[in-house]
Formats: sequence, structure tokens, C-alpha cells
Amino acid sequence: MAKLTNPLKLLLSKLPPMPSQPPTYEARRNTLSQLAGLIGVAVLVHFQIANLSIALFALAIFALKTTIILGKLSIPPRLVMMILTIASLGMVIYAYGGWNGQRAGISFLILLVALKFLESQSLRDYYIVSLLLYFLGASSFLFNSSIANIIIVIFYTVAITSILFQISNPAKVSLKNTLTTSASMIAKALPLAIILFFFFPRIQGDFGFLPSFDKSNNASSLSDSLVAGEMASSAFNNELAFRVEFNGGVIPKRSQMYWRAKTMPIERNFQWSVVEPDPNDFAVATKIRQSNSLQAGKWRYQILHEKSKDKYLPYLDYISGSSKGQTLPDYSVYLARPEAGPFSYQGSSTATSSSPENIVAGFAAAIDRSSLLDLESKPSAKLQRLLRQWSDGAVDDAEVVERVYQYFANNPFMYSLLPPSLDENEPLNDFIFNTREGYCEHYASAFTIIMRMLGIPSRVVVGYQGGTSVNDNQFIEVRYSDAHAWSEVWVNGRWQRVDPTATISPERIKYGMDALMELWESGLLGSNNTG
Amino acid sequence: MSDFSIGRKALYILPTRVGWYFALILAALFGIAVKFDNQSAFMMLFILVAVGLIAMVYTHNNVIGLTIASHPSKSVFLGSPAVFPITLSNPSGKPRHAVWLIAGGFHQLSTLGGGDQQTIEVKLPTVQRGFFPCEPVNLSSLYPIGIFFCWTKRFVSDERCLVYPQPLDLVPFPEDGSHHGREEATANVRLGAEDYAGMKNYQAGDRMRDIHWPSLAKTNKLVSIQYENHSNSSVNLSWFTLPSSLNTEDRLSQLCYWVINAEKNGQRYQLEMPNHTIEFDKGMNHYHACLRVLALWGDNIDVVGEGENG
Repeated sequence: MAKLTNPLKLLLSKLPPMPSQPPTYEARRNTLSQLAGLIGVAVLVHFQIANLSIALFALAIFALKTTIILGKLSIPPRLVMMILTIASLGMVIYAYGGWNGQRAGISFLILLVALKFLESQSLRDYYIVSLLLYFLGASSFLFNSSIANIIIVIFYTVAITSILFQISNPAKVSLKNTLTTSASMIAKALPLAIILFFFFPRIQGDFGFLPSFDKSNNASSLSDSLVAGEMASSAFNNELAFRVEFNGGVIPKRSQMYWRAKTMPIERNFQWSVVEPDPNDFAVATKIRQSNSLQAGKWRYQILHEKSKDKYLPYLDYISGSSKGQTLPDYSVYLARPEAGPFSYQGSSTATSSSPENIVAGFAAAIDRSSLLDLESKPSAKLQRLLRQWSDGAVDDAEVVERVYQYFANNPFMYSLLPPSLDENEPLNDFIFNTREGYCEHYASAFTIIMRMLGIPSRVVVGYQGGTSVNDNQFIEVRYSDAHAWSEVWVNGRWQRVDPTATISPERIKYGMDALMELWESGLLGSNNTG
Repeated sequence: MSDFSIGRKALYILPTRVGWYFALILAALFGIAVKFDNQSAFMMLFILVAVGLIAMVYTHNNVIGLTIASHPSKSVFLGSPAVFPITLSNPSGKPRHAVWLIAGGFHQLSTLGGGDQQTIEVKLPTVQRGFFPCEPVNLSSLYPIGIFFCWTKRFVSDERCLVYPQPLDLVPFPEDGSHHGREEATANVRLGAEDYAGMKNYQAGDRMRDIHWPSLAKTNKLVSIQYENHSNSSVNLSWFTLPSSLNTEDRLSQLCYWVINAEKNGQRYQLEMPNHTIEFDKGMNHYHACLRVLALWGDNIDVVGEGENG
């Protein structure tokens, strides 16, 4: 065993010798027409998903191949194939501005299938085309994972299997035999697949509708980044985050209860993330501590926080005093070392951020405008026209903010816990003009990006909104399902909170997440989106 | 005739090249499902994984339990294929689809219904005179969707085909023995030399002109007239009369051609080899005995003992 042997070769050497390869045969024309039919269906479905020019191009290639099959012609010469391949690559890049993205990917795939089908001659080529069709069918779920689509794709899979069945059988088989065999194979596969589905460990993420199994072992926290579509899963996490007891019975209205945890100033393609505080921030934090007063605020409260690994503590917007952690210039409270178990702290807050007149030392009026205007997303031409409309003739930034806010209010935007995924290349454009369905992070993200595009310094804030009143307002319980994201804009020399979700789904803010979930479950909300 | 039943230990299965492509597609799909955390894509992935597993079971079940049996093979002349009849039978009630029977370079596809059996003539090219053993026989199948293929252990048939030398006409046919003045000095009367001896059932190799056509009309059977010819010609087919320019194989080929010719002409003939002579005679047994000697010439097999039992 000292000699290193290829395990596969070792295995093969122990097997009896393989017989010689049976002679190859030509795929039957009948089978090829069926395969052509399946590719035709795929191309037609593609019209719904992808760029029109690409779908047309795929259709043209498909038509060419169909002519070749029916007319028993020979396939195009190599040069033509090369030109077509380069042309299709060019089209994908031109249509989507690059490789990345689900739509670009699926368009590339459909062109690949069409081109491979066009050049196919041998059995193996047709095998590969059929296998690619399996993949294509499955990837349609990235755009539509409704039950109806799943059923359609399962039937499609039966059809592909029947093609493979015919290709691999040198003798002619009846269509009935073909279909019954492939249908029975899929029927036998389904129970097995369902078992695998439930017992196969997932590397990442949960199935949205299922509670995660191991939450109790791990301390929860709010994510340090905001990715469209991720926060919605927390809507189903009913775990308690913290309890609040207000001193003196002065309790803010539910719509005022924004529990601010962290700000996210960095934008990368519709995703936001926090910045770890730097020494400069801590220097400011020391200054702020001097003016820290638990007595100053309008609301004074005690928070009993459950175990958490989060470094940012939730305080009611806007903080004027805190008993724990370091208050940073962005009003978030930072805890360098998370507590091992549940912990409590006190805070006091006022309704507005420090106004220019009585600015608390440290929350300086001077902001780093350039970092708060930095964007990775670029406005599309369509969005640019809209931006111009918003900024033209506005007296001040406040009016611009109001105009954008009204745009969300006056257009058919919808609040959804299971929003459709966005185009990877232009998520903002896709969201503003196409899908118009999102959870709070979509609105916070879109609104903040638009603010920055309009030159108004802004950032995304993540925390909790609302809470459940317990024992006649003795406590407020805030759960992870209350997690929320909103926007903050720098207008008139101070930070102002803008929550675009409030205009889309006032119920969310007014009655809280629980009430919304009831609406959701009763089907009154977002009933038109199942996936 | 020996039977060979395909049991579990005699059956092997591996993915085909297309099967590896299939695995590649599954891996890509897994990547997509994880990246986009798409539960439907996961479901689809698992359906395809299950299809792969079920295809494997189908492939296996398509060949397991079949039995192979071999039958004796008829002698042939070098150059024409040796034919080994192999019976493939399906004792189970389930039909078997697209099973390849493979022996060397020979491939035959067969589909067997439940309880069916099928005899396949395995034709293998002959390259050398002498005994030609049947190539080991394998069964193989790609059924149902070509992502797995299974193959069996080799079935080595006991049957062998005796390959006679290739008949070649290089030297003119020797004159009748009478001209050489050897043993059977008889008058060389060709016409009417043969005396009527009786009728017998037609046998392959009988002359066309010997067929008794009126019987065919009456009994619908081919009957040939048999002649007794004491007095007809006889010929000595001798190794020694061949020119020395011919090598061994050519000599054997030439003798083979003469044997065929003599038998066809109804002559009595004697095969004279350096160490062994088959005495004057005619008829099928004599014919095959002579050819057998030629086929096995130079082999260590005791051709004499076996050859003279006819």
C-alpha cells in the first residue's frame, strides 16, 4: 500500500473486464422531433423571463435546427457555429451588461442549449442537450417557484426523461412504453426526493415557512448587513428580543416606537452593511458620554435584553442617555463585548434628533457628506428622468424627500413577506419599475439609494419597530419578528427618520407585526404573490 | 451445453460518461439551489438525484436473472465466420429491454418478454485453421436512460468451432489414380459408370442432377438418387504431389480444395499426408475426417484417433 494508487483505478482493476462498446446508432428522427418540441417550449417560456432579442435569437436557432431535422439536411459548418456562438455571447453581454445575474445566466443557458442542439450529430450530443434541459427546467424556479410551476416542471422532467429513454434505447420503443416508463420513474423518484428534501442538511438558510431547528442554542442577533429578501425570513422568527419597561408611565405611541440598533452607511448593489467604529468614533463617544443624561429625555425606560451576540444595543429613537455601551456619533450604542446571558440597561430618548440649536456635543452637525453619498448602484436612464423630476424646482431637500416619499405612496407598491427576487444587475431599477413588491428592507434600501442619488446624505437604519404590550402596558415585548429597516436623511442640519414602509403598509407601523401576520395568514395581504 | 445465470455477484454497474455529465449537472444545480437558497430548485435537485438512483436500479434489474446457454458450433472454412448459437433466456416474468449480448467484437441487441428465450447466432471472424473457441460472452445494458451501464462477468463457453483451412485452387486437380498406376486401377469411364443403388433423403452437398424430381412432385420431399460406383474414378490427394514451392498453409488449402472437389464429383479419394493416410472412401464422414486432419495439421492434438471414427 506504500504505492499511491488512484482509488478509481484500483476499483476498476478489481472489476471484471468491460465488454467492448456496442456500435453507435443514429438517434431516431421521431425522438429528435420530440426533443425539438421540448426545446421549443423552453424557448417560448424564455420570452417571459429574458430579454426579447435573446429569446428571438434562440427561437431562430431552434427554427434552423428544426428545419435541418425535418429536411434531413446537414448541420451548419464549423465556422457558422463559431460565429453564432460568439454572437450569442455578445448578445448576452450587451443585453445584461455582463455575465452575472440570474437572467444573464439563464439566457446564456438557453442559447447554449439551442446552439448545442443545432450542432448535435451524435447520440452523446443529444444526451448533453437533454441533460441541459433538466438544468434549464430547474433553474426556471429562480424566477417562479409557484406550485403551478413546480408541477409544470415535473411534467417537463418526465418528458426529458422519455427523450433520454428513447435515445439510450437502440431499438424502437413505442411512445406509450416510453411515457409509462419515464412517468413511473419520476413517480418513484418523488417520494425519495421528498425524503431527501426534508432530511438533507441545507448549507445556508432556512425554508421560509419552517421554523429553524436550532435557534435556542444560538443567541440571535440582527444581521450586520441588509440584503433584500433576507430580513423577511425573520418575520417568522417569533423569538423574544427584549422587554421594555417605561418609567413614569409615559409611553410613546406605537408609531413612534422605533428601536434603533445600527446604522448601515455602506451600499453595495442594493445591499447595505455596517461599519465597525474606528478610534475617532470612540473619541467622539467619550465626548458624548459627558453630556449623557438619563434624565434629559422625554421617555425613560429600562430594557431587559435576551441573550444576544449583537454588538449594537437597541434604544428608542433618538437617544439622549444610556446606561450601557458607548454611544457613537451615529446615535447607535456599541457594546464591544456582547453579554453572555440576558442583560438589562436603562435609556432615555427624545422624539427628535438633536436640533441645530441645542445640539448635544459630539453629535456634531458636521457630517462626512461624501461617505454618506457614496453609491455603487447607478441610476438607469429611466430612473434618471424620475430623479430630475424630483429635484427640479424643489425649494429645499425637505421638499425633495417629501416628493420621493409621495412617489412611493402614490404608486402601486406592495408590501410582501415573500417578494420576488430582483434582477441581480439592476435591482433598484427592477424594484422601482417592475416588481414593486418588497419587505421593509427593499423600501429602506431603495429610498436611501434614491436619496443619495439626489445628493441628500442618508443611511439605512436597522432595528425594531413596535412591540407587543403585556399586562396593560406594563411591559412592551419586542420580538425578532418586529425587526425593521428604515431610512435616515440629513435635512435641515439634522438627521430625520423617514420610513417609506409606513406609506406602503401603514398597518405594519400602526398595529405592528403581529397584526400584519394575521392579515398575511388570512390572505388579505399579498395574496397575489405566492412566491 | 452449460448454463450461466446472472446472479448479483456476476453483475457490475458503473455510470456511463453521460452519467458523469448528469452528475455534473446535479452539482451545478446544487450550487444554484444553495446560492439562491431556492427550495424549489432543491426539490428539483432531489427529484433528479432520485431519478438517477432509480435508473441505476432499473439498469441492474434489467439484466439480473438472465441465463446464457451455449450450443455446439458447426465447422466452417477459414474466412467465413464461426457461428456459435447462444441462447439467452429470461426466466423471470418481467420483460427485459435492450440487452446487448457481446462476444469479442460481436454485438447483438435483444429484447426479451417475460419467460422468453432467444437464440442468437454469435458470428465471429475466423483467422486461423484449427479449433476456435467462442469468445467470452458478456451481457450489457444501458436501459433505461443511459446514465448507468451494467455488465456481467464473462461467460466462457466450452464450445469450439473447428475451422478448416481456406480452400484455395493453386495447382490443377490430380489425374485419376488409374493414370498414376496406383492401387485402384480402374477404367476411367465417367458416363454411365455409376450404378443405381437406391434413393435416399436429400442431404446438403448432394448433386443437383442426382435429385429425383418426380418424387418431389409426389411427396413434396427432396430425394436424391444414390449411385454405387465401384468402377468409377478415384483419386489420390497427396501432400507429396504438391510442388515444393508451396508452403504448409497453401498445401493444406490446396488439399482442402481438392477434398471438396472430389467429394462434389462423387469420386473416391484418399488423403495422403506425411505421417498419416486416410484410405480411399467417400461420403460425408470421410469428407469431414479429411478436412479435420487438414484443419488440425501440425497441432499437437491426436487428429488420427478422432479423425478415423467415421
